[in-house]
Amino acid sequence: MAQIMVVEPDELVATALTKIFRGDDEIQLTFSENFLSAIETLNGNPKFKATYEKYKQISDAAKEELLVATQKEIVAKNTWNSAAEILAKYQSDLETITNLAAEAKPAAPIKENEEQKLTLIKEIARLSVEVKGHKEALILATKLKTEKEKIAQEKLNIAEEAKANIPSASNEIYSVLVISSALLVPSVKLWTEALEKTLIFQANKEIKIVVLGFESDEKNVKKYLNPRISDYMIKPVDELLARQNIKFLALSDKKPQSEVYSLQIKEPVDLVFEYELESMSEFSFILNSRDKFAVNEFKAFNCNLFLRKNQKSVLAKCISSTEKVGGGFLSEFWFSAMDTHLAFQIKTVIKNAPKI
Amino acid sequence: MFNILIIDEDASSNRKIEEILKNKTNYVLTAVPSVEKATELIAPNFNKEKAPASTDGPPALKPQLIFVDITKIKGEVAQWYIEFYEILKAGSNENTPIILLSLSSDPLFIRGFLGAGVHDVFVKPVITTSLETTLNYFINNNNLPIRKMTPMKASVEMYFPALAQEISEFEMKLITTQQISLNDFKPIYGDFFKWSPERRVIARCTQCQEDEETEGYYIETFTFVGVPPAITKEIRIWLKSQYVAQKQSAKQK
Repeated sequence: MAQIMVVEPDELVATALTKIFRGDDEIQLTFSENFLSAIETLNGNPKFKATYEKYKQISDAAKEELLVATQKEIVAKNTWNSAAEILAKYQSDLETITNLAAEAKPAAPIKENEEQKLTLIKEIARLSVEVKGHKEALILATKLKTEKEKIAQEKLNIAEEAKANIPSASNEIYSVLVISSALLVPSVKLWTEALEKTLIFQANKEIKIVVLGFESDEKNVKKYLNPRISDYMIKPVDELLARQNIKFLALSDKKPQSEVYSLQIKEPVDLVFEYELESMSEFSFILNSRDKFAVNEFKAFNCNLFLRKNQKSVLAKCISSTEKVGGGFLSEFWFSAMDTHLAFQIKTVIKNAPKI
Repeated sequence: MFNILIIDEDASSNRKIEEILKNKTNYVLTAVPSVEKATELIAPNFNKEKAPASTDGPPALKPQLIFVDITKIKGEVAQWYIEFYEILKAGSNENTPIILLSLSSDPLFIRGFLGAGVHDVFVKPVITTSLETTLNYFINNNNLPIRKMTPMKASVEMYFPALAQEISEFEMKLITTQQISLNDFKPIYGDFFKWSPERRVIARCTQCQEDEETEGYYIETFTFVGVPPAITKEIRIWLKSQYVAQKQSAKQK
């Protein structure tokens, strides 16, 4: 049986949903007063959150300790590296001076070189001790990091295992969340983000969302459609449509309802794709798109810029479609089937275009 | 000499093209009212396979550009283009670009007449600059004129043709050449519900698989989303009427 969580303050709609699924052995509805109480139910046992938080803290602290140890190791490595570099330079200088002194000896020893040599020998001795110390510090830091890594991993494993084993209220897994559009505040995007953060019970994290709203025009409906939301239904909900679509989302076995009949047809339809206009000339326009277009293909376009009497679309032929740096395509389309009105309209738009 | 052949009986349109070309040299314009007449000019031996190639009479016309009025495209459009290509091939003109002439400027109407070899579509009366740009394109080795692009930001919708195979009041199965990502929302419209680009439904792609029978095609199922009650009602009425019609036709058979 599939569980459906309904968060709908409108009693009429809630009653309608109850009526739709009454007697349905495959669906069980759970009503919640508001979004927060729904989340609590979806997260399961009230103790779940506290326990989850406890293990989350253990896991976060372990991650933090590991990060500190890793940073310490990096610092120790850098200090050792720079000291070792200076030592290597001094050793090279000493070698050069020793060679020079050896060449000059038969004639007359150079006093300055001898003095410099002595200073370098002293510095090298001092630095060698320093480098040795740094090397030891690095070995210690690496050892500490390895230990912390081991401890952190153990803690993480314990926390993850504990989180996975925390029971929900009755181990109930919900398939669909039906929610009123009025509750998606302050915006659909922010609400979706809040849901992702607050819904922590793993088994319910993938719950499908159906929004119920009064808005019926495309512009407003589109506001509610994002990859996280699966469906939007207009109130008052159509019984057959609601039963079909909600069941379709709730059940893994997606059989059409018996009262639904479909027809085999052969009819042309249009799918509408949206793109961004980049630039325009009196002959052509360039689109920014995710898809590559086939050159020489004609397409019909609609844009407010092409608006003219009784007609909103234009026909254009793709003359180039090239990949952009960073992904996507820039495709140039040549205006076709231009009449004098459209030609005039395009010229006016270009003339009045704001400077970008 | 640049030979242009017009297949159109619209005298005023032909005159307009002639006027545009009047002040230009090196253009020869030939206008015929039908495809049959054009065939006689460009492929005199077409359909006369048994007859020996005649050496008498004027040589066949070799147009570098052919204008065809869309009313001359009869029957099934794809088939018409195949047959017309055969005529062009018979006269060794298979690479000659075709420009369609249309009285209507409605892209969704013109789209139904497009086929292989069509370079452009001109709406009647032909705009002088459009004709000049096209002629210059062919004379200058297919070089397009320099375009001064003005940066602009706007949303553009593209209508991508698809074929509906199956429909219920909740979803639609389509065949397209474009692969759609699962859960992508797309507005859809179709003449058969008297929908229009302004009045259409949004649908979510719930299934997308390659068509095993035809390479390059995809079978996609779209579930309607946020369908206004009026449209649901329209779909139901349409489905019922179609269902009844199909039943009756089956009974008659």
